[in-house]
Amino acid sequence: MIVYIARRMVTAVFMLLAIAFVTIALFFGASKDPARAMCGKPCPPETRAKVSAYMQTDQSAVWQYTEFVKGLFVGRTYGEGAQQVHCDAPCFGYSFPNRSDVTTLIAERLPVTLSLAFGAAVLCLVVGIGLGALSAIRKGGIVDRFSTGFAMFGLSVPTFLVGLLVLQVFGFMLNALPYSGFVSFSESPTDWAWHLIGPWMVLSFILAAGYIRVTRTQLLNELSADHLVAMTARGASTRQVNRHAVRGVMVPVVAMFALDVTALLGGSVIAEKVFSLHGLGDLLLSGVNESDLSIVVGVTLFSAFLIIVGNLIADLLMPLLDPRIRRA
Amino acid sequence: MANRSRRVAPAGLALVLALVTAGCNANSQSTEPTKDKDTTALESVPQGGTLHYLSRRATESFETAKAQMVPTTRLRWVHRGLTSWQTFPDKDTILVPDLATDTGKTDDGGKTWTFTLQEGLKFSDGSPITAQDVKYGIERSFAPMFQGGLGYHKTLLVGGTDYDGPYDGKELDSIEVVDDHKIVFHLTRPFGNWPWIVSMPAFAPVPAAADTEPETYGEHPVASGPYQVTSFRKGSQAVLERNPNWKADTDQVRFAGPDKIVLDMGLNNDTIVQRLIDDKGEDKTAISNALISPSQFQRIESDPSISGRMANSPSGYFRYLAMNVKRPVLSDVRVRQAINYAINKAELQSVYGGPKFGGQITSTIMTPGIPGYTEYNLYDGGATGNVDKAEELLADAGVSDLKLTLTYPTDVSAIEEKEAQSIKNSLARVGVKVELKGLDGDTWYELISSADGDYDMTTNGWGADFPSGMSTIQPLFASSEIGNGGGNASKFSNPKVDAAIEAATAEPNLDKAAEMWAAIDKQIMEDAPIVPILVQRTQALAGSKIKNYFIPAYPPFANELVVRVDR
Repeated sequence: MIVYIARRMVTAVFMLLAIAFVTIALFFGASKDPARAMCGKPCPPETRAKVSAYMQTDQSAVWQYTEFVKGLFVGRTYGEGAQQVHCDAPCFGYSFPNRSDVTTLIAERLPVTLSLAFGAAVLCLVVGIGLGALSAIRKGGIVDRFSTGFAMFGLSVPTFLVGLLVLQVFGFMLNALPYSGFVSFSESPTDWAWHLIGPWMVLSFILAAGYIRVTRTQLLNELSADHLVAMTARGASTRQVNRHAVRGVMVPVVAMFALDVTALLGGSVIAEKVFSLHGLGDLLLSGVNESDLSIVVGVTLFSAFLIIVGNLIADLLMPLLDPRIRRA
Repeated sequence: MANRSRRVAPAGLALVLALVTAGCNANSQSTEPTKDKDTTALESVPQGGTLHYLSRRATESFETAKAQMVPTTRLRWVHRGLTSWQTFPDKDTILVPDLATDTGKTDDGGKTWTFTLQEGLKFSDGSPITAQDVKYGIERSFAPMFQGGLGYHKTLLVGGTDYDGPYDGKELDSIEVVDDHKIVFHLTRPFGNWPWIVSMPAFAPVPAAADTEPETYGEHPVASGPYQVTSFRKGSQAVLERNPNWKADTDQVRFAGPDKIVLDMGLNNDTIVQRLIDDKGEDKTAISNALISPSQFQRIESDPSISGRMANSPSGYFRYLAMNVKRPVLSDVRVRQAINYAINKAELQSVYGGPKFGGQITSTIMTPGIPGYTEYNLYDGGATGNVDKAEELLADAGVSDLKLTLTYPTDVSAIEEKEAQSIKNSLARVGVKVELKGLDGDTWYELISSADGDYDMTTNGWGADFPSGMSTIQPLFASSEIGNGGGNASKFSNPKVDAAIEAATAEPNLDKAAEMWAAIDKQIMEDAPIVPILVQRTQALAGSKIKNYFIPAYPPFANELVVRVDR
């Protein structure tokens, strides 16, 4: 098991380095000059050259990549003398428009993203598995028909539309929820939840759709499986049968959940934009808009890292849930 | 009652000071217009209340060294400058002294400028505001860590191009501090608009002793203006309260109405507009920097209770079609004149939202509100263009089957695409085929700002940084602005125009300079390197309890320093 985890971690490191390379290469291929955005007005060529040299954006993509990797281990220094800014190891880059190193920026934004992801994940699991299970148990009933339609709608409708609808209806028409803003959990747990209900509703609605469908299909399959039919025939109670069935349902749900949670932790650009939340999604968007390479690479790598870790955890959990995987 | 006398003070004072300073004002532009100056168009309401500012920018800060904001915006709640702008709903904006006693003096034709600070001015921390603090504030703006601000002074001050700020102990000698109140600027060349330049953000005083953490200074600066930052949460909210050391009788541009200002940052643009339309609770006392989209105009216009709260600019940004005169097909002035006649400006006006919200059709380079603006039309084809005249000019030039490319940025808004399509349709009427080349904004700008950019025509827009022909004509038409990131998209190069631009730039008598710019405007249009299209309007909504909210002819933003809250 330890060898397995170690092997996965080594692969992960190489994968992250490759992702960083691709991101940097794409950025430099897109003829964006971060120095132009930071040059001020007017921007004579001398000033632009000066700004570019200070931000080190006048160097090639290959140079950027080696410096980036070096920075991860020994940190990075921009500028000289009293002008210099230092970014401690592990340095994911320095954002000049924000005048802060990217690690700090990610750490600042993380509470918002964590809060958003936590609530959305809990809500989508409760709604998704709950409705999915209910519709499997009462197949063809009112709940089943409702949740199938609900899932279909959730899967097909774009996030921004749901976001705008929730904001319009609950925010502006009913005046029942705040339009925007974030209150930290430590400041006031009730205000924290109050400000996040809107985005939680939007994200969990979109995500729950998948869980409803998977839970329903999987549970129906399990319930009609030979071993459970036999179990019922031998007089086992419905509760006992269901308990066995649930284990079978858990495998695909956990795999799906691990991916969804890590994607949520990487930031939800659209939900954050609609509800003016400043999490990682918003940070990435601002990085793209301002041609801020450091932010783009930093947030991309962070999200990639989460997805790799999330997958690893899911893979490690699988054998615990399903003995057949353990044997294989 | 004490409030009542205080609130009229700035307006009355403005009149008195303007009359006093007029006589000794090197910037003669403000001598004449001040005579009939009054502020009766501004409503008087009791001071007090809380003003809410809803900002779509998450990076709001009170850092002056890297700011690009005009002197009538929120940065100046906290910071004063050597000079500032006084705006009116119905008259042109004028330059007035702020920390200084006048708008600057020059004895050598605009190469050396002297400013004297008012006596008794204090920062929020109680220390006196001195010429040294102004010098230090300007010096900071040269530091590479503060990039991105309005930097006209950086190339104008002697030694500026080689100076890297005060943090390694070096000073910029061309900013000479004579004593606590007197500061002298030595420029590389005569520059008549220097009094306007010193109204820019970098000219706010910063006491060196308080600048211990430069990177975050803008979150808790020492205030010279009527408000100080009492709480700052980066990217989220700033709270401003009164600076007890600011004296209303020393300041003619800031009304300092509200007792408190709450600035919420990083809000969704459309949410802000919707909140202002709804006008509920605290939003009744809110203003913002949100942009109103054309789809929202209809709703706003149909409801007088909303449209009455909307400020609409009488003038605004300059929108034009640049023709690359270096291209053989466009090198003949008759072809460019023909294109001027062929464009259906009325259609473009409706693309931008019509005359009320979109903008006014124009035929000049300078826009109303800029001194020297004079209406003329060298190629008057009517609002929809004159096809016959255009065809006649093309025939004269011996041109047929003309094919041109038109480039434009695709990621700014959907309007650029429609605008390009309309131009294509206009030119099709006279047999000119246009190929549209939409590019992403960065690529587009790199193309049009390089000397050998491969394109025939591009659409473009421009907003002046200060009200002078210099701020529009020089960056768009001087031959020095071809390539290297410069804004001369038509690659227009005329030695006579260059010489005239240089002379007008140097002229310290701004009335005379205004006349010179007016002449240059027409001189350029005789060569027809562009088709002027529109003077684009800007709009802004305010809550129902906001008073004195208007957009002057220049700049195209509401003056946030005179806004008051009705309780």
